Amino acid sequence: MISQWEAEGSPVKVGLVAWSLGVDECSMDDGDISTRLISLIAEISPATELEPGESTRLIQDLMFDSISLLELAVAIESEFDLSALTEMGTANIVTVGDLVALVRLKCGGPQ
Amino acid sequence: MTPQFLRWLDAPRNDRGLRFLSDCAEWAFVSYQDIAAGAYTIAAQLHDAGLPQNPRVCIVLPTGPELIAAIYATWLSGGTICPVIPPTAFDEEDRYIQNSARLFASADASAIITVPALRKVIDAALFDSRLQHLPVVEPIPAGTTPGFSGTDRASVALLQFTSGSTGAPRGVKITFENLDENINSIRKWIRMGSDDVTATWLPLYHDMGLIGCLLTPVSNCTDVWVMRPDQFIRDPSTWLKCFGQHGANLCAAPNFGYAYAARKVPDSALAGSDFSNWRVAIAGAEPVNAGALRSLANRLEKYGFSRRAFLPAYGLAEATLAVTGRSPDDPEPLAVQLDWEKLRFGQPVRFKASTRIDQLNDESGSWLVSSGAPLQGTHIQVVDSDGRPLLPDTLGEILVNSGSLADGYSDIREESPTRFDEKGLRTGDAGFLHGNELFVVGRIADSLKVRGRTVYAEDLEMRLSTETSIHRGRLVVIAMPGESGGAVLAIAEDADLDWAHTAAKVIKTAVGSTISVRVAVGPRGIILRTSSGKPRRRLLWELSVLGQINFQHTADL
Repeated sequence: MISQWEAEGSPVKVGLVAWSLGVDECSMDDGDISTRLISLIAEISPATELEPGESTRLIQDLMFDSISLLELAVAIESEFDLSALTEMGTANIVTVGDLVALVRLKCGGPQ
Repeated sequence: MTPQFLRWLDAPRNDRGLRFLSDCAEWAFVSYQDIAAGAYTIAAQLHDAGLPQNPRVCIVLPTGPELIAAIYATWLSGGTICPVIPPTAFDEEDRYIQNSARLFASADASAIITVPALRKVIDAALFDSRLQHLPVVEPIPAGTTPGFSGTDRASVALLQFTSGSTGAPRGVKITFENLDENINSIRKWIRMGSDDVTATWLPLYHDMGLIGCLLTPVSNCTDVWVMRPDQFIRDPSTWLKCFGQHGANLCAAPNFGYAYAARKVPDSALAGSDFSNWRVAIAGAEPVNAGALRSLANRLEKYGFSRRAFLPAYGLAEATLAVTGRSPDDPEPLAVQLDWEKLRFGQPVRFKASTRIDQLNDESGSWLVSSGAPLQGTHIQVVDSDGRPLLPDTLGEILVNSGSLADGYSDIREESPTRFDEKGLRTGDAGFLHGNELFVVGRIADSLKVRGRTVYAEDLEMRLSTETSIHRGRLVVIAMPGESGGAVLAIAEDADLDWAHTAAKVIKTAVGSTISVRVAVGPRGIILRTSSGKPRRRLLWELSVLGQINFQHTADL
């Protein structure tokens, strides 16, 4: 018996697509992305006493964990009108600066 | 004999099952019959991979029907499951690979079940742990191969990894008997009936999500609405709609989840909801925060929600899952305010105030909420450092005895605050009994909860040592009980007051504004150590709580 979840065209699609770097429609200048992103990070960061800068590390310095990182990814998607940031898969994001570069890339701006 | 929680597999129902949320926000029903078919198929794949008897299978899958089928498949194959977190948003690849490699090695894995999208990182982790020869199974559609079911069964059903401090994963060995015992006592505690419906977004690689919100309702053959954690974070109103519109009436979550839903869900998403059947909302995994529960109740009450649904509970992986909980028929949980200044290990606690939480209007987080009474079959004592029982209302260590106590750890570690001894499970949690209700004050020395997340003393030591250039051998960090989630005490030998001020800032940055920080400096030898040189945090904790250490300088933040 073929169970429902593998059936062709089944509505159940678990998020298995690895991280993709498609370019979404959003445009703004460089500095703007960085400022808005850093204020978003500061808002969600578990380390409330530390002001994030581009070299601040998300996990080691700002104490992000998997749930707060998800919260951040969702907030970035909505702030910058991007998609697929929360899909399962790894990305080599260590610092705030790495994240700024990623958002710039996804927004189609210069890296 | 087949464990009770697996008996549903003998005659899986077609009219009951699990609903999964697709990425287009549609729910798809997968019956228990479908899950069973998937499980028998994956069991055949495991069998064909030529695994040893009673294999230990690390399952690295996102929440979905394949994950659930893989869990039961491993048990059909006579194996032990070891659920492993898949990578989440912004996970650093190297870090993820390194952590998974440690876990595979520590689990002594015989096979991995995963999906093609994760093969690259899983293969890298296997290579790093020198386990590249292990079979990696990718689930195939149910029914595409004749199913398999073994007769022999491992004694350990689940190797539950507790997060542990950096670089030190540690597996708790949960037996089939443990699962049967704990699942049964949970079903009795919340009076689980044949028409109850569960809704969950909790990760399935942790005890509360896996045992409480999945294995328990599945063993009860009742419906479950299942979301991935990222789907909940993106849109918590979808989870609330399970209760307000789709008839779900049971859930469990940490404080954070209830507060998050209260903060994020717009009024428009609640219109037309009816929460009057929502009868169980277990609050566990961290000390219960009355404010977090109230914030959600305030949003939902006009749609029929009753705050009596909240059942504060206490549990830990070493006792399978649940230990105590407020029963649905009990009065509102009691909240007390302690005189933290006078709190002493082994001494009576002093109450500044006490009230039922429905009467509580104080917004401060300093109230301690009762975690309820022991579940059926569970015996709790509060003991001193020698394991002698203490009187009610006296601060000591929580000691648990029940049929749910795990069969120990996959590795033995020195001076661990949570440990099994001849008296039972020494939880490493400090608390007191008031009547037959348990109040949990916090961890003894090794960690504390910050925003629902565990911060380990060892990790703070590492950070302090790097950032203030002090040798780790002259330093110890201890988590202390205290108002609003606790306090941190750092002790250093041979340092000056300037260093103490800098160190206090470093710790404050890591633990946030609600946790108070004290850095104390004393002469060489003030940090008591084991013969192998490890700091005796637990003893230092007790001495500090008794006020029996004399420091030269202290800095508070």
